[in-house]
Amino acid sequence: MKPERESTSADDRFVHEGELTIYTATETLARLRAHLAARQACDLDLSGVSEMDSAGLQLLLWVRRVAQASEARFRLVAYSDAVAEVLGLLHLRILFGLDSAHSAEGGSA
Amino acid sequence: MNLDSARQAFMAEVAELLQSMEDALLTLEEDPEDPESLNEVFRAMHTIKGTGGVFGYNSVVDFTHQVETLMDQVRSGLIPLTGPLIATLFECRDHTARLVDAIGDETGSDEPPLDPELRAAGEALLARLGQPPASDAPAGSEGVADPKFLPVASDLWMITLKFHRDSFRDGIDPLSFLRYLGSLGDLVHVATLLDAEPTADDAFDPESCYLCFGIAFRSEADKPTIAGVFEFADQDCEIRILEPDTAQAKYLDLLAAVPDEQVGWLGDLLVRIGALTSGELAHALRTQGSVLEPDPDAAPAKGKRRLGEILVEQGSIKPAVVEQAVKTQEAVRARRQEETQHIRVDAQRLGHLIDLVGELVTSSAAIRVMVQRAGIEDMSDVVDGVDYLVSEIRDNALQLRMVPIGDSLSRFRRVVRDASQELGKEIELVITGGETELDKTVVEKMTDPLTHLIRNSIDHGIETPEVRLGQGKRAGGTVHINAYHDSGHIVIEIADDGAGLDVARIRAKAEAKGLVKPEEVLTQEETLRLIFAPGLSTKEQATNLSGRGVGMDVVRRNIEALRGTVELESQLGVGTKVTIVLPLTLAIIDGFLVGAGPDQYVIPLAQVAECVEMSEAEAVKRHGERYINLRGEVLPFIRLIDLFESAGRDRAGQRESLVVVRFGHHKVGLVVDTLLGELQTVIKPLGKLFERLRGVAGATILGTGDIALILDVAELAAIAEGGRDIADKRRAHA
Amino acid sequence: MAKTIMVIDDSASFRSVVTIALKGAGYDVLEACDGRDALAKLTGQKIHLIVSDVNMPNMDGITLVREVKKHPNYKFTPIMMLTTESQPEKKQAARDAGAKAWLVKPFQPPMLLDAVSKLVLP
Repeated sequence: MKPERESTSADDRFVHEGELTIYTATETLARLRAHLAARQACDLDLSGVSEMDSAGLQLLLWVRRVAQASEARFRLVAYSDAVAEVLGLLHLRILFGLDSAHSAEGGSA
Repeated sequence: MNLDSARQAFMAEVAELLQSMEDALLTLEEDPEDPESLNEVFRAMHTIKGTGGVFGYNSVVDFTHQVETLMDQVRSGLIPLTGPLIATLFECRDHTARLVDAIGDETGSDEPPLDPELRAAGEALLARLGQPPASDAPAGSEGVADPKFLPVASDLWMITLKFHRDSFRDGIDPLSFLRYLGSLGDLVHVATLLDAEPTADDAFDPESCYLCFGIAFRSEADKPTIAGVFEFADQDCEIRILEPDTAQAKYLDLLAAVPDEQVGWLGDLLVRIGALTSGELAHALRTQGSVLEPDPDAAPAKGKRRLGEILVEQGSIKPAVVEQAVKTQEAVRARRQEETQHIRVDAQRLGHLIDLVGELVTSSAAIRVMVQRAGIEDMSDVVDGVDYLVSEIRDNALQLRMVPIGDSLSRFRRVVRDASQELGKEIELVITGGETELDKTVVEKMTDPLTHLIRNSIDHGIETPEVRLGQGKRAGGTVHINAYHDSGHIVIEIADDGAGLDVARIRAKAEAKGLVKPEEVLTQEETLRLIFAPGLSTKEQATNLSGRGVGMDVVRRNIEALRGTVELESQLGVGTKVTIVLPLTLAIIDGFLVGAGPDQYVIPLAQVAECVEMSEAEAVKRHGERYINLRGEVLPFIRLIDLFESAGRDRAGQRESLVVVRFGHHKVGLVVDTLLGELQTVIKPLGKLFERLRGVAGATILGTGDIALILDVAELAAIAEGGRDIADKRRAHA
Repeated sequence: MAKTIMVIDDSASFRSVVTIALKGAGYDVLEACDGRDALAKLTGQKIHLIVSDVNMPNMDGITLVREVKKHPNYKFTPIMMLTTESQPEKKQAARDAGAKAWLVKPFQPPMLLDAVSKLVLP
């Protein structure tokens, strides 16, 4: 949804579609771990997420933390309304760069 | 597991954020325009501010808010990021760490006062940033311009939720509770924390719940409603709900107004006023390790911790509320201590006893008469002794039913509080003379009329704060209830400093309703009394509380049924005072027996001022028919014979006596034939047949077996002063 | 996207009142007349909340809760039980089985909507 920075390679992109909920949490975490084990960056594309619950949110927070601990880049580059609603409810838009995305990326684009 | 881990999670998160802020600042030293790093610094301050606010760490919030504001300006290019500024930002980062460290050691729920040195250091830093010192910027008021600012204002609820590991597996989605909470108010800030070791990625189970939330919540809802949001999570979540300071003030008010009989156990008391939920109480009790003891007086066993302490510690309630609750409880306990020397007696038994004492009074009077008739000298002393004992028994028996009126008046605090809130008025209720005693049966029958009069004062009397201020009055109005004894009666005054009654409007209404003819001339007092007429209400708009035009006539009837009277004084714009005068008891009185014509009458002794001879002597000089001059004082008088139309007979040459009775401010002379002396009298109500007979309160059986009428002095006073019609009627008869 | 609630009760009229109320509030509703019927209808579609009676023929509510908790697609779905005041032991049994929310019959539709919306907003 947003123009990506030059440094982003298609390989860094992690796409998740459908539910991001307790029912998919285990499987999604496994995929994310594998993704981060192979590279030092994760550009999360959640534009195809239809539903996100607390478990899904917790997963994002956790992976973000783990990535930072290992100095890997972790960004949310695209998101659906369902994701935005949850991040908005919990006042996490800034943490995931939803609001600053415009000024930060708009300036360099 | 306890909520301290949430606090620790916050500390860990702060450390993490400050680390990334430091990294970002290092990058900015190389490349001052790197947007990612600018964001990172902003984000760190923003998040620490928000989360700190949820925990109530004002010093952290005040400081980071200023840095965040600055970073927002830097980010948007308003302020250039210079080398010195970056250096200062490093120091700000370190200062934030020190501020958080200063809190770190504290486990109490309240923030410790900020070390002055630390404060000064922070202000110096902010000055260098060009931001106003935090202490001078009560951003709660000025922060309106910046919607991102989290006011640590006192009107926010602080809600902390820590979900258990199994919550997701149990089908609990914490987000749904937060969404629902959002329907009750405004989630001003939410801090989301993970209660998990950041290094232990392997141990992280995505199906377990590590979520903790701190929520700053603005809402009009009460605590039980807010707690109700989480009712389905109570087994899956540690919930801490701290009321805002504004609610705390409300609890303190409520605690002061709890009726004594409802003050029991501390926990119950707090739940009753809504300061505590039953879930929180149950949790604290489990902590205390006590079983649910229904006995409120069960003293806590030694070594067991006090409930209040536990409640404060578990973060369910603020210390000030617990303190007030304990005070309320102790005050009642002290009062109960006095009561422990008392015995509870069935009111019916007491009533029966008083009836019997009444019969005894009658019988003993009969004995006296018989002894006098028989002329047995030796018996006289014995009869005197018995009389004395009987009167003592009577006084004591009546005393048993006497209760201080204050107990029943205190319930009006709640009436005033609720009603004034409903009407948006500020009203203070002042009660004086609460210790004044009167018969319990009278007290019970006075509740409704008093409630009505007080509601009238609140509703029609006291004006809204705007109106009051406009008239140069204080914004808050006062309703003053005062009680005192006066000559065998109790006087209850209900005074307000409100709008007063508009005599002209009452008159107009009364004429409209046909209660008064337009040509009739009434004094102000007479006009005011019209509001006691059925169907007259002066307030244009009826409210929920009163003003439907029924009421004052019912009030008057209730009071008159107790042989009492009600009077009204009012001055437009200044206030209204209602004065109720009631006999202390309903059953037995000390009377003064007089004879007039063939009949005998009893005058309540407490109302007899003096007796003088009604001769043609100089001391008494007639003024027309109905007034006499008694030592310079002009008194109206009534001849009992005229009043009750006793069988006409020749009274020429008969010596008459004048009994001066007093009632409130009024004095009236009663002209009688003979003075027969004091006696104790049991009041027997007259039948329906005599209901309309004015001036008579009841009847009594004399020792001789004769019946005497008991005079109602209040009515006699009214007849003498205003009752021209009666005198005229008498004359017409003659 | 509307959230889906499954309503399970052996009284058809009860179900229809509940369904009308829930649909009126913006939920999708799936009805079942007992536990066995409910399990048969759980065929992989997304269900956000299960509202179930306790006493039903064929399969009672508590057994249903146990079965749902074993079902890979529905084991995390919140379950609200409808109990009566006279069945405290049923409530405990259902709680042990994994139901988390309660509503005591009889109730008015607004009470149901309030309780439901604490778990799932439409």
